[in-house]
Amino acid sequence: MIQVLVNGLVNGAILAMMAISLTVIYSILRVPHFGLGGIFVWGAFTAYFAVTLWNLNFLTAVLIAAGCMAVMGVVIEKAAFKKLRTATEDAMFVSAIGVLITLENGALLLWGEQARSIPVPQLDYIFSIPGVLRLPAMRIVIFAVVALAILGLHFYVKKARMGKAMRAVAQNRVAARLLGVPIDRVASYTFALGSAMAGVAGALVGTAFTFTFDMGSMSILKAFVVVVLGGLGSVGGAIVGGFLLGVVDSFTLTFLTSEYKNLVSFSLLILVLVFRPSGIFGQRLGRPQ
Amino acid sequence: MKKWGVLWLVLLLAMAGFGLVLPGNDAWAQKTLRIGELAGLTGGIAPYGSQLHNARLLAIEEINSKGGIPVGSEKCKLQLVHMDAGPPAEAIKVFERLLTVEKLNLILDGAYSSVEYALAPVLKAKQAIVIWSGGNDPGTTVGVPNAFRNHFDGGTPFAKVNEAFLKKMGIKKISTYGQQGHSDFKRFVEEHLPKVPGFSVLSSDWFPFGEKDYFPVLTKIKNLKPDAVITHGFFTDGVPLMKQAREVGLFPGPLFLHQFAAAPLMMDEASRKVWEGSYEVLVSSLAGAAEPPPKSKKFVDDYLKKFGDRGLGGWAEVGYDSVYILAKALEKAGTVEDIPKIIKALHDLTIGDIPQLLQDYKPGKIFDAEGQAYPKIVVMEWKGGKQIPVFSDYGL
Repeated sequence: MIQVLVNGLVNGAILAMMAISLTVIYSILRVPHFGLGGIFVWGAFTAYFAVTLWNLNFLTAVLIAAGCMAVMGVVIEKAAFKKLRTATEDAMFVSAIGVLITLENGALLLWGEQARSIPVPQLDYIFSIPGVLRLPAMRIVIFAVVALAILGLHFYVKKARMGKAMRAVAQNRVAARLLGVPIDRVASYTFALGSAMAGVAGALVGTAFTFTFDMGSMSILKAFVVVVLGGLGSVGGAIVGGFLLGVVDSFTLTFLTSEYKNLVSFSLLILVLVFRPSGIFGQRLGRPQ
Repeated sequence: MKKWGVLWLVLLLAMAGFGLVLPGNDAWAQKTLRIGELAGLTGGIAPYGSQLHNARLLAIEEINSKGGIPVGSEKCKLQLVHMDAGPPAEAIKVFERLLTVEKLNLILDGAYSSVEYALAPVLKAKQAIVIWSGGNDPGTTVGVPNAFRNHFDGGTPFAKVNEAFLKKMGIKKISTYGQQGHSDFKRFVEEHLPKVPGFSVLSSDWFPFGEKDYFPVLTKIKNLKPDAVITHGFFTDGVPLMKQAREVGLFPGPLFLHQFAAAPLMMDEASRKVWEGSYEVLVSSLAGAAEPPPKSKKFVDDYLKKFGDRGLGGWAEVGYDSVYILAKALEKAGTVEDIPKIIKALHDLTIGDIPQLLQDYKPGKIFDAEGQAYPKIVVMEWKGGKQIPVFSDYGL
């Protein structure tokens, strides 16, 4: 039972990381950035090349992936979303899907379709409690990195000047602009932050498991389920939702069915939408008249 | 004017002398026969489809270097016109293009059963012949008189070989874990295995293409304590599956019998290590074995020399054989256009007619009434990064 729970928590940590990156951008800028699925893929490839071509250690590779994806996030914001800032969320959603398709197919064209894994022989050992739990070191690292990223995000948003500006924009963009908050810079920083987190998630998945050019679409869909589950725009909800879905998936696979794994998670999404449309931690909204 | 005319004539004769204008002797005398190939060169099937395609190129090169094949009164050189099959819906369009735009009626395939299922009804209504060399689902030739398969039958014969090997190893309790979308494995798990006396199926689980985390299901299988785990799918998913089976402590333990058609040269060294001590059964060729028989050895050497040391596996010999089978049928039929005559020639072919065949086919006629061939299915053990044959049978 402990093994099943821990399996779910590891998966949940990655889901939470993706969901947080989606939530950060959505809650501050109201951009449903599904293109983060593509960033997730490119993050994995960046870390892979950092380790295999440049012979860098795993941690440096993860940092490089985060840095490169932050820059890519800013470029994407300028190219695909800046002009849509006053447009509806539907328009931004279409643009985000375009980004996702472009990034995934770009990765296919550049690096092909073969499945890869980031080799980290230093982490090639298993933590074991006989009869209770076996956990590869890489899965422990996933926990640690995700926890660090969440803590870092928390302190940045609470303490840093730009973090405060982000919160101001999230609360009321017009008022923030009137008070002199530079919206363009906030948008760039927000995209950089969200994209860096998605890039780190990609690097972790690429190391613990395998990765392919098309893994972003399903991952971002699952992250979206987590976001809705936790409550649209709630970082706390994304964390809880991520772990919840990870554990539900793990128990479903182990005790119910492996054939309909996604059916269970997406059914959960529908149930939440029916009975609590605002999600677990979302603000209750009145039914539109 | 007359002076210019003479000058042109001299120039033309000079060019002809250098072979620039008039076709060479070969081209006058010899026809080139274009054979279509519905190749599986992208997606999950690519590692299998590419080796099949390469092996066909090798066979065609050999045939052409000996002057081609005699068909009726003339000798024909062969040319492979390949197009990527893609997913099933796409494959139908590609197939139509091979038939109508390229005007080809002799087609070799390198795809998988789902594609073959999609094409079979289309093929049935056409004046064309296809030899399936990719997928193993027997249903794709049944009732389609112009479809043949020289890969092994993934139905009863394959199930019987699995069964015989597992019984030989003293297996009683079995768990299965296969990739979704493989109809032959679904039938194997749901229809064949439960009916085998002495076998008890503890669990049947499935993973999607590109699955990353196998831990939950492997944890479940570990708790069930089976004697054997049977896996099925594309080997690219098999590598992380086996890696995680080791991590979760499931393997070494029960016997792992894989239906991945994986071979050592299809992957890198790190990937080869994860299979150590497990068994592979989805193969009817010894090209990937540590010590292939002499005829396969020559083929392997030629293949590696031409295409490098990455990619060769059990499907290559199937592709190679398909070219020789079609070539011999055309030779015997004495025509490249009379489809019923070529179908009859294919049905009449015996193993003795084609000494070049690499797979070990059942003695006698190559194809049965439904167009299915019966090469011997082999079980190989992964040992020291190589595959050692430990069991083989026709499954009849």
